Amino acid sequence: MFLCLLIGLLALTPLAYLLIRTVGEDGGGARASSFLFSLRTLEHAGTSLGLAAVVTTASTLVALLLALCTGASDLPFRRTCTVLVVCPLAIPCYVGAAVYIGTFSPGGLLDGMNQALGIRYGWFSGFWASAFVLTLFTYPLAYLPIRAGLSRSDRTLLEAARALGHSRTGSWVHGMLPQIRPSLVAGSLMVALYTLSEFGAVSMLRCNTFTRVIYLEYESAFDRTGAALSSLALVALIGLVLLLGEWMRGRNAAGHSGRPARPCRWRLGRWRWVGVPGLIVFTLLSVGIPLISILDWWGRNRSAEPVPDAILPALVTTLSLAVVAAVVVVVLALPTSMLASRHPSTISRMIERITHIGFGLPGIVIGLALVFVTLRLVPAVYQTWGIVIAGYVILFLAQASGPLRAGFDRAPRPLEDAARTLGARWPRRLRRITIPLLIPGMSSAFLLVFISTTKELPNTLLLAPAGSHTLSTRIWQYTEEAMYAESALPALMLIALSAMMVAGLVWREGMVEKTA
Amino acid sequence: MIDITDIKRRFGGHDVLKGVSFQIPAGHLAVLFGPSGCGKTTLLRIIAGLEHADSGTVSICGRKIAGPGTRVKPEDRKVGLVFQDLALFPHLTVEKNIEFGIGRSADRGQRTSEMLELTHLESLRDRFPHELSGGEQQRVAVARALAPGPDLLLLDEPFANLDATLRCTVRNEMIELLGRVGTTSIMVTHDRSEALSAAQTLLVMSQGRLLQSGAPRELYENPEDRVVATLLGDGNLLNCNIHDGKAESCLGVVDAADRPDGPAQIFVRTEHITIEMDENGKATVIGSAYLGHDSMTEIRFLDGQMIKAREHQDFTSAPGSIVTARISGPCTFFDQTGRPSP
Repeated sequence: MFLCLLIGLLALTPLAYLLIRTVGEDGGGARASSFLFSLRTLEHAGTSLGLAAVVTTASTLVALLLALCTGASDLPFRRTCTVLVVCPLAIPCYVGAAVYIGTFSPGGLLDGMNQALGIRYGWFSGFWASAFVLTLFTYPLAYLPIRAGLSRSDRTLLEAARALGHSRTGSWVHGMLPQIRPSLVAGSLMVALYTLSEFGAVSMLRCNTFTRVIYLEYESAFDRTGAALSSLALVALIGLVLLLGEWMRGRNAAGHSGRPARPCRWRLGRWRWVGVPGLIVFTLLSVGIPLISILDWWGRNRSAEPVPDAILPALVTTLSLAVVAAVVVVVLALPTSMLASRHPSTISRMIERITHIGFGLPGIVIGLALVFVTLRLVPAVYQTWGIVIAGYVILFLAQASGPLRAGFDRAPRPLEDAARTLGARWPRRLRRITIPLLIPGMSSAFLLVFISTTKELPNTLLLAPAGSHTLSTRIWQYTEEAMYAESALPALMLIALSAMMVAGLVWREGMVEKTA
Repeated sequence: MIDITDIKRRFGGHDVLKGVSFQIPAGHLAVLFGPSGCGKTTLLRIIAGLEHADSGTVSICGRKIAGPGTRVKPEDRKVGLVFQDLALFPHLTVEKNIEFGIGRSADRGQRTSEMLELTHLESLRDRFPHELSGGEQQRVAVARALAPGPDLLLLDEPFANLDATLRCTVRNEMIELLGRVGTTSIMVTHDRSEALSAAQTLLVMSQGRLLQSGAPRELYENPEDRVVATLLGDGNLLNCNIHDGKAESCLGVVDAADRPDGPAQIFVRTEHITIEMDENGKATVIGSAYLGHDSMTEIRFLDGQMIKAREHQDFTSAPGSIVTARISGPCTFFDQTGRPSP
């Protein structure tokens, strides 16, 4: 219990420090208020919120349409389509952004289009380019919950709406939408939060949201209080969006009847055969063009430099960092998840919530806060791998605790009691009962954190020791320096890693479901 | 022989067990019966060692396993427990589940096969628990608990999760099995017919106390307590007046020899009341429910006293009929406080 509280508090330290640092400084209060109401701040807030709104709307609509097509219609090849549709999950947003920038730059895959249309270079940047890229790579976040909601939905309500005199369309609006509303809200909330926290893509595309501004202010190094203030403003925005989500979910959430439902079916009729090419074009945009573009750059670059010296150490660093971080996060998440599963109470729920705060915070904010904390309190660890891992812990603790909790739920106290009455002492109980039941949850948690760590950019960028690189910081650096050919290989490696891990996770979940 | 002496347990300012004592002869199947929340599961868990009593002792075959200065761990008690939700190990096959409690010995495989055979599970040995029906899971749970050869087997509402049709079959199978194995057992239930039909020794608990114990028939016919009387079956509790060895109530006069004069209460089971059509009767039929094998009729006397009576199925009476009612079987007297009169 005490241990759990300690872990929770550790996760909170950076944020608290950020607050103290800005408000506690001489004249901090006055600066904070003049900052808050300055035109620049409002502009950044507007950009952040606007981008979040556009991306969320677009992603949710795309996700809803795709979920309906692949999950609740008579579209042919639905299983294959589902796999295609979630593919962008394996491509981090900033990698997507980097690839698209490369695609439209001189020598890129679609450079010909620029020349044919006589467009000047660099047109692919700013707000709308960011919105495009983010939508393309974040819609799976909304797709998955909506799809799950659809499969839980009940056709009876749809039929009831028809029976009550609604038209075919009307029955979908009145009988269907309310049923998937909670998952719709959950999905769009995920996209909104992700967009607000996203750093890599918006920075590469030079869209002045808070995350980019925080980094620029930090880099300029004259006045880091500005960066801290921007961070707090961003955190406040995120809190606002969370509240909005809570409010939308709270009203009129359709309940579940509990009995096995007959899922809805959407008859596409003659649109059936339009759906498939449509999906293929869409997948081409989100996965096809990036992959072809990367391979194109890579193919041309390979002849120049067969084994780039810069990439191998980055790969090794990324892999070892991810393994260590995943192990540390899983170990630290064990006590809190066990507490939440075995002793559900107000206090254990609160501790769990605290450890989840990191999940809602942008990596750039946590990175910045850790910079402040280490510089002020323990300069010795500044720019060491240890502090990078600390950042990952705060960011990903919540990700690990979900599957771990499910693992502990599979190994509840009564099973251990049963083993006791059968004469098993604790080493045997642990070996034969608890650990075997916990392993699926632990490996899921490990894989999740592993994937997230390999893809993570802002925290790594801010905290990694000077001169050292991971795959993600390499991609960042090359794209910033317009070295698209060089960035192809690390991007390819990262996508391959993510894809492998996602596949592993899906396979693992399938196994768990079979034995559960 | 199981000896439970003065077990007390307090939970969050609430007395769950207020000093429970009883003994069970070796080889008996005892049923601990009582309404939900009366402390029977807590008592079972204390006997198994999964919870601790504040005071009192538990001994099995003269071996003290819990008491002042003694607290044998559950794993060393040789007490088997069948959990309410069975708690089968989901990642182990039927065979491995049953084998779990058998020590590493040469005849381990043989013992497992024996248990599989005893519970008719041979053909399911390689299945996982989630691949079994409710009744099969039940048998695995009992086989697993019996496999190590416990001195005492505890069953916590073992049939609670089965549906009504399955429940009866599984229960009879289980009782027959326990009888064959001959292990001393305590089963907890809040199901009245289960308690009466299964028990060799019936222990009735309410609000943390053991109210009465003995053979089921003895308890049903001669309850020592109003609560025991009503818990074990439907009946009517009436006021009566005893004078010169005769008790007078709205159901007429019955013999009450050896009972002191004065006001008392009389308890008559619904099946021990006969209703007859009688134009000069003092009661009116309120309603009658046809139950298949019999019918339940409710009548009201002129003084407002309501009586429920279980009648033969061919007895029919329209509401409003004028009837008389009399006691046609044994009845029990209690004094005004609900304790039996001396």
